[in-house]
Order: sequence, then structure tokens, then C-alpha cells
Amino acid sequence: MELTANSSAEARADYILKQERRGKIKRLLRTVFSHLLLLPLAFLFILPFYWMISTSLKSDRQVFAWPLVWFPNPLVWQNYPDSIAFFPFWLYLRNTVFIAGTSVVGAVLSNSLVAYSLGCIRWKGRDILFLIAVATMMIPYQVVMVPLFITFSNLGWVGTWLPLIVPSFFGGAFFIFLLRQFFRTIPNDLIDAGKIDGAAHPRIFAQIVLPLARPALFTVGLFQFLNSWGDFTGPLIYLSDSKMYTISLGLQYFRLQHDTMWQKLMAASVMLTLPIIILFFFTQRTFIQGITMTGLKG
Amino acid sequence: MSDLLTRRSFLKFSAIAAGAVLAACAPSTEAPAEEAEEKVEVAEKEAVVAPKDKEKILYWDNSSPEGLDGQVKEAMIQNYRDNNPDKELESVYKPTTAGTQMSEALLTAIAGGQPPDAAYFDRFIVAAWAAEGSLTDLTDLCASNGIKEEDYYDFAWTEVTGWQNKVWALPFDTDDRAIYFDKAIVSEAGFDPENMPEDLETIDEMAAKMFKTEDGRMVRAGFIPWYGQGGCPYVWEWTFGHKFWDKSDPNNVVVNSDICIASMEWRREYAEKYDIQAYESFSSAFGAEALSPYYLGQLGMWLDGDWRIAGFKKYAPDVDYGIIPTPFPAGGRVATMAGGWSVVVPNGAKNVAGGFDFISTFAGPGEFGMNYYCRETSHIPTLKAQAQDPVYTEDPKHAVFMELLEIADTRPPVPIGQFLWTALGEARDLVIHGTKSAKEALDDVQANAMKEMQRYL
Amino acid sequence: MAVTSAPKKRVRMKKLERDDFMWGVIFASPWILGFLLLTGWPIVSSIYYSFTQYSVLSAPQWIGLGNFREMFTADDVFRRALGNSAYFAVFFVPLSIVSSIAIALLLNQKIRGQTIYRTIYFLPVLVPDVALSILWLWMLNPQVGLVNTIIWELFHVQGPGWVADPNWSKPAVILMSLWTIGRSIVIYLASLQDVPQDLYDAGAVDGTNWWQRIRHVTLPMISSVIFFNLITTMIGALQMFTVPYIMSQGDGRPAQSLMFYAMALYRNAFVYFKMGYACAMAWILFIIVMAATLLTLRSSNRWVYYAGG
Repeated sequence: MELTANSSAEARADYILKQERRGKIKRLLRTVFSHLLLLPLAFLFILPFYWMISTSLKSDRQVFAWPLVWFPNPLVWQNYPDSIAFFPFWLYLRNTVFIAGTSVVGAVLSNSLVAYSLGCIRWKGRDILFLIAVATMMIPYQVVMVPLFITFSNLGWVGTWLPLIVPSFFGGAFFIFLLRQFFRTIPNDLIDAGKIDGAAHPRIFAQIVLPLARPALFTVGLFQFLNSWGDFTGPLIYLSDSKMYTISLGLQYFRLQHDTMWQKLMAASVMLTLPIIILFFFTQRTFIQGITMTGLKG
Repeated sequence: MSDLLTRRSFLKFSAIAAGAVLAACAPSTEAPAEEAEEKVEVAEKEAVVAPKDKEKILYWDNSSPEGLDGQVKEAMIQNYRDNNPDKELESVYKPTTAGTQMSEALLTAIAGGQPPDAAYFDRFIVAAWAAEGSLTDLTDLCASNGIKEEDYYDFAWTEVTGWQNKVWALPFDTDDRAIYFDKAIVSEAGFDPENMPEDLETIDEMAAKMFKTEDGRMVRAGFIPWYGQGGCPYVWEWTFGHKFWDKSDPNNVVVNSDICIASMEWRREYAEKYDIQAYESFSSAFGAEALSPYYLGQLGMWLDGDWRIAGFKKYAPDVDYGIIPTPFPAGGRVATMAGGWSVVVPNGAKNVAGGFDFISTFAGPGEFGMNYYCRETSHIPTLKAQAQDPVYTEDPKHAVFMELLEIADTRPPVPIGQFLWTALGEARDLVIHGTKSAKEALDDVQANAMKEMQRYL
Repeated sequence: MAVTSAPKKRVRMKKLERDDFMWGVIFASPWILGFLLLTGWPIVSSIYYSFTQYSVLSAPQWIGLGNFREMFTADDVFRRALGNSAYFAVFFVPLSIVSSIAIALLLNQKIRGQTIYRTIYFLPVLVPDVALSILWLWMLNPQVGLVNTIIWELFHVQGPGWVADPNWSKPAVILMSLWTIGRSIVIYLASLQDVPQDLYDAGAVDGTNWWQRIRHVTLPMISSVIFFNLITTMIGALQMFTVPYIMSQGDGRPAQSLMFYAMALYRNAFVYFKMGYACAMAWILFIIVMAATLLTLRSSNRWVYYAGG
């Protein structure tokens, strides 16, 4: 049924009702469709974590029994306190939180600054610099590891946490690239509006660009945190005082010469992962939610 | 919304960041402060030597501090501390990433000029690392401390002196390998488990009868030559009668003799006769010892190390199994590989004398030395006198391994040792998957090995 | 009027340019400093090392193009490793991008349990690599693994050999790697927030369907981030190390099918003491990746949309 200029008021009302119903049906279909796809896959994605938990509660006999034991019986809760007692859990956890936390601050700050330069300021060197930065991503770590160690050794930083934290304050190619792409989606009009208002770049950066880039900054913070949290090689080669060790080194305590203590390793891993999961669960609502760039109309 | 990040909060952020950086510097000074406190306490207790005069020795180990190995070593280290109050021995846990060498941490430290004074080290790569100048020559120190070749098993001494006939490490523990077999499976196949053959052909016949398939799936393998320790790329060549390396010609290695090719062909036959992928599925019980097929009655015979005895006690005490020296074909010999660890003083260590003093005690004949470790952790000493300790032959199964030590071989102590190990392993993998012929694969390894060796001549 | 304002405009523009240049450098200074002080020298020195025989423990010896000659004429591990990594990248990159965008779109729908779903899909990223690898090794075990058991139950056919079969080992690793697309999903979710609602509304009025909306509104609006993921996923795929290393027990078995480029590189650097050769390998890979990136960059003018500068 088509609306024309001559349609009666009734016809119009009818049409609007039909459209609303169609809209509701469309929304219902979309919801069902989404759940239909997301739910089965979700089982697959939750499998590894479920397996970690299930392994952490198994007895020696059941850990590698075949067929795979999905529900441990008995539930060996003792694995949890045992695993905490197995290595300096709380000390290493504190160390790692500190290292990861400061790295996050460094990463969010430095990378947003550099990305602003490469993404929002029009200046002569920016494309070359961007290319060089991206190029550094293409060199594998194994090749720069030893010269980098020697550099830090000359600085006297070996044996401290500095080699693990300070580099994040200088920005990293991956995050610079990421944030630059995000910043470049900010319409020029917004930035120009700031310029017309007489703002210099620092002001535009702090008051216009950063607030609009919260989801991206959250991503950078999250990824940097995960990188620092799970970093093994860095702490391995730079730390020699076991009081300063991180949890990635601590987890190695569970690897014995001919065997690995899987249950306790999984228990410790679960405990170390849960806080991150909870953090993610609650913070993602704040950051990945409805910040639309309403910007300028017309 | 846009005033979320005003200049004020931006400055606040920077202040936090700066504070964080400064704070990062702080903990590195905190730790020594704590240590200084401890030192003062200790000094007060002993009232003998002022803290600053204590000789420092730094030792790196890769045993988990909470595992049996780690705890036994800790006792040995503590004993050293008790007996040497004028020295300050620090033991640091440096976990390994992959494989058994702590290659990355130690290599980086030596390259960066910050190595420890002593380190736990895999013995078979001593020659490779020594050839790169990463270890300290201990020949003179050994001579002046009465450490002699005759004290050790031949293979152990050969391994630590392979490069230029100098002493680069002190041998520590060892282990060796033999054929394990499941008695029940052997009987079921119609053979007498108390009368196992010494020749390889009979083993092949037995294996053929022990393979079992159900529904087209292999549920039991009779014998997988390259399973477990059979994967060591030298064992079967030795068994067939080959010698890779000799002390008289230290820069030469032969991997492609006719014997080697025959040995490789023999393995390829197994791959062709039986379902190779089913094999692999047995082998991919990665890192999961309790899932090993031999504990579950799925494997009839296999080559394994002496440590499996403890494994059976723990995971499958009801399995009746036996151990025999490796059977060999005509023209071959009984062979086993002796592995194990050592202790070294890295090149560039600040306290060479201290490092050596520690390792000679740690790996020495004293009460808390090598024998203590081996007894407590079920390993085998490399000092012949210690190996006579009756504890090692108590278990008749273990006695077989002790006898084999006399004729044990080690991996060729050449600078290209690690290269050979991986190249030969890969060659076998390619051959059993039919990607290369045995001759082709081994010829390639030989050519590459000689090329790699050029760097050291 | 017009005559006198033109030179003024030019002067103002020159000043703006200078200002912009100054601020450009200032804002980029953290990275510039970091490069000069920390990361620059190791990278540059690795170029030098690629022309030397260098064991890390002793001084490097110049051998000119020796490493490169060996790589291309005498090293079949190099060729196989490059092939394996290329195979992985060619299949994994598109699969990863398509699936992470698709899932991100789904996770962006305001349905009940959105937060829970998002967390679940991100979970595998938080699971240690070792745990993931072992779990997959079991699930893909050709005899008794879950996957082949299901295939047997449903189709009465013996499933493929997966990690035991040289032809299936890489697909197995690809499948396993798809588990950790959580990071990409989060990045896409973040970028989806910036798609202005008005554009959708306009589309709705025009009577477009959901696919057209995705194709003409969503995808272009997140194209700058798709470009980012394309490049970084490609680099990551070609530099992949830990997973194939664990799954092949370090030597690329079966039959070197899992010998990835970074594994061969690592081995040369730290096991064979051929750091010079490893550096040469690194720079060959660099050239390949750079070429691919530049090509993508050039094509990006056609399909990547930047609202801003």
C-alpha cells in the first residue's frame, strides 16, 4: 500500500502502524539471528577457559585420562591454595601489576601524542615518519634482542624493571598505527573548528581528539596491559633478583624436569586471569558504548 | 564530554607518568637495601667477616625451586654456604624457554658482559658453546684441584673436552636408555617375556604380531622405533654399528655412511608398513606424561630412559614391564645414549675462582655433592666411584642401566652439535613421511654439516 | 582589496605550515627519541650484521652477500619455512579479518547478554598460549581427539590427521589461531562506535537492507581500521612463532610442515649461533612485508575512507 499525497488520514495512520510492526519484526529477527550465531560459537570460545578451570580442579589421575574428563570428580579445590603457596605468588603479582600498570600509562600517553602528530597535524615529515614506524614492526624481536640488551646494559638498567617499563613511554609502532587510523576518522571540520576558535594543537588534542578516541585509548591500554602481563622473554633476560620476578617467570615454577604440574599451573593461571576478565567485563561497557561522532550536520 | 580531558587532567596524567617512572627506579634500590639488612644480620650472627669483604658468587640454575630437583640442589647450595661463611653464594632461578638449554638468558648475558659466575648447563652442547668462546677454560683449575679424566666415565669426560681437548665443564649427572617392553603384550603375541631376543629381526617379527587395529584404527602399536627416546637421532645408527665421531679426528663427523642409510631405511620400513599417522597420534601426547601410551597398554616396546622407572611407579604401578639392552642387527652392537648435565663457568664471569670453587663442590665427590643429588633425584653420577654406590643397583631394573653405562655413547661433542641434533631429527622426520629418501636426506645433512663446520676450522 | 589580501594569505599559510611542522615534531618526539635512543641502533645494526658471520659471542666478520647467497641457493629449510609462513598468512589473514568483522558486528547489536558475549569471545586471548596449544593438540588428536570423534559419529568417516599429517597440520594451526581473534574483535568494536548513527538512519529512510547498509555505510566507515588490521595481521602471521613451535615440538614436525619462518630464524640466531644469517633472514622478510604493505597502501587510496586528515 503506497502513500500518496491524496491518502486519507486513516491510510496514513495505518501505514505508520504497519511500518512500526515491520520494524519490530525486523528487530526481533535481528535479535534471534544474532543469538543463533553467537551462542553456538560462544561455546567454542569459552572452551579453553573452561578447560583451564576443569583441569585446575582435577586429581593427578584425571588430568590426562582418556576419554577426556569434562567434570572433575572429585573436585580438588586444594590445588588452588597449593598453587599459591608454590611460588611467591603475591610478590610476583604485585610486581607484575606495577610493571603493567605503569606501562599502560606510558603507552596511552606516548602513543596518543605520536598518533596525533601523524594523523591530525599536516606537516612535511609525517608520512615518512609513519612509514618508518610501521617498518619497525616488520623486524622480529629475536634480531634486536641482543643489541637492545647491550644498550640497556650500558645504561646500567639490567637487573631493574626499567627495560620493561620505559620503552612504553616512547611509543610503539603497533599502537601508533592503531591510534593514527582512529584519529584519522575524526572529521576535519571538528579540528578546523577548534583552530578557528584559536586553539593550538595541544588544546585540540586534549579537548577534541582525546575525548572522541576513548574506545581506541581503552584498546591501547588493554593490549599494553596484556602484553606486559604475559611478557616472558623481557623479565627472563633483564631480571636477576628473584624478588623482582613477574608472574610469567613464576608460572615456570610448575615446570619440572620431566613433568609439568598441570593442575596447579592451571589453577594459578585461572586466578591470574580472573581479575582481568572481571576488569574487561566492567570497563568495556564504559568504553565501547555509544560514543558516536554526532559532529556536524549538513 | 569534551572537557573530560582538560589541560589540568592532562597535566595530572603526565605527573602520574613521571611519578611512575621515578617509582620504577625506586624498587631497584629497595631490593639491595633489603639485602643489606640481611647481610648485616648474618654478619652479626657470625661476627667474623665484615659484609663488604664477602666474596660474591652468582649461580644460575634452571630447576624449578619447588620441584624435587630444585629442592635437592637448594640443600646442596645451603651446605656450601654453611661451609664457606666467607663467601656469599647467590643462586638464581632462570627458567628455560623451550628445550633444555637456557640459551636466551645465558647467551644474552654473556654477550652483554653480565654472565653469572657459574651455571647449570646441558652437557651435550658444551662443545658448541665452548667453540664460540662463551665458556671459561677450566683445564688448569682442574689440574690444580686434582680433577682427573680417570675419575669419570669416558663418555662424560669426552663430552666436556671435545673442543680442542680442554676442559670446559664439570660433568654432573647422567642417564641412559634401553628398550622397555610390556610383558603382557609380549605374551599375548605369543612370545616369552623372560626370554627377549638380542637381535633386531626378531624384535621386528614380534612387533608385527603386537600391532592391533580395531575398526580401522590402530589401538595398539607393537614398536615405534622413533618414539620417546628412540627419537634421539644417534641411537639407531650406533645400534647398527656406526660411529659418528672420534677423538682422533675431532673436526670430522660422518652421518651418511651405508650403515646410517641402512638404519634410516629400517625406520622407513616401519613407517610404510604401519599407519604413520596413527603413530603420530601416539606421539602427540604432548607434555602429558600420564597420557603416555605405555602406561595405558597401547605400546608394546619402546626406547626410554632410566627415569621412566619412577614414572611407572607413579602413574602405572600395575603394569608389568621389563627392560633389555637395545637389540641390534648383524654387524651392530648394543648401544645407548648417555645424556645429562654439567656445571660451567661462563666466559667473562667476574669471579672465576669462586665460580669454580662452587661447581667443583657442587659436582664433586663430597657429602652434598654429585652423589647426594643423584641418589635423591634418581639420576646417575658421572664419577665412577660414586656410581658404585649400591643404591643404584638395588632395583634390578635399574641395574641394567648401570651396566650399560660402560658402553654408553654420547652425542658428538663438536661445535655443530646442536645443528646436527636438529638436522638429523628433521631428516628422520622427512624420511618417515616419504618426503626424502634416506640416502638423499642423510647426504644433505652431511653436506650442510660440513659447511657449518667450516666456520670453526 | 583582493590584491592586498593575497600576499597576506600566503604569509599566514607559511606561518601555519611552520607551526604545524613544529607541533608535528613535538607531538612525535616521544617516538623519535625512543627510536634514536633505544630501538634505532639495534635495528640499524641488524642490517650490518646481515652482511656478517656473527655468533653474538664473538666479533662479527664481514662476508658481504654470503648469507643471502646461502639462503637462496643452499638452504631448503629457508624455502620451506617461507612457504609455510606464506601459506599460513594467505589463508589466515582473510579468514581472520572476515570472521572478526562479522563477530564484531554481531557483538555490536544491542541484545541481551551483549557484555557476556563480548567477554566470552575475548577469553581465549587471556588463556596462556601453552594451554591453548595443548588443548588443541588433544582435540585434534587423529585417534581419540574430540574433533575426529565427532566426525566419526556424524559421518562415519575417519577424520584427517591434523597435526600428525603434513597436509593438515597448517590448517590445524590456522583453525587454532582463529580462536584468538578476540583482539581484532575488540578493535573493530571500538571503531564501530564511531560510525555516525545519522548515516544509518538516512539509509533506513531510503529503504536499504542490512547488507547494503553494511556494505555502503559500516565497512567504509571502519575501513581505516580494516586497513590497520590487514597490515598488522599479515605481519603477525609472517612472524608467528610460539604456537607452531609448541605444536611441532620445536622442529616443525611433521615433515617440516610447521617450520615457520620465525622458528627457522630463532633457531639460526640462538641455537646455531648464526645471528648474522638470522638477521639476513629478517631483512629478506622485511622486504617482502614492506612490498606487500606498500601495495596495500597504494590500493588503500581506493577503498580506505578517512573522514579527517
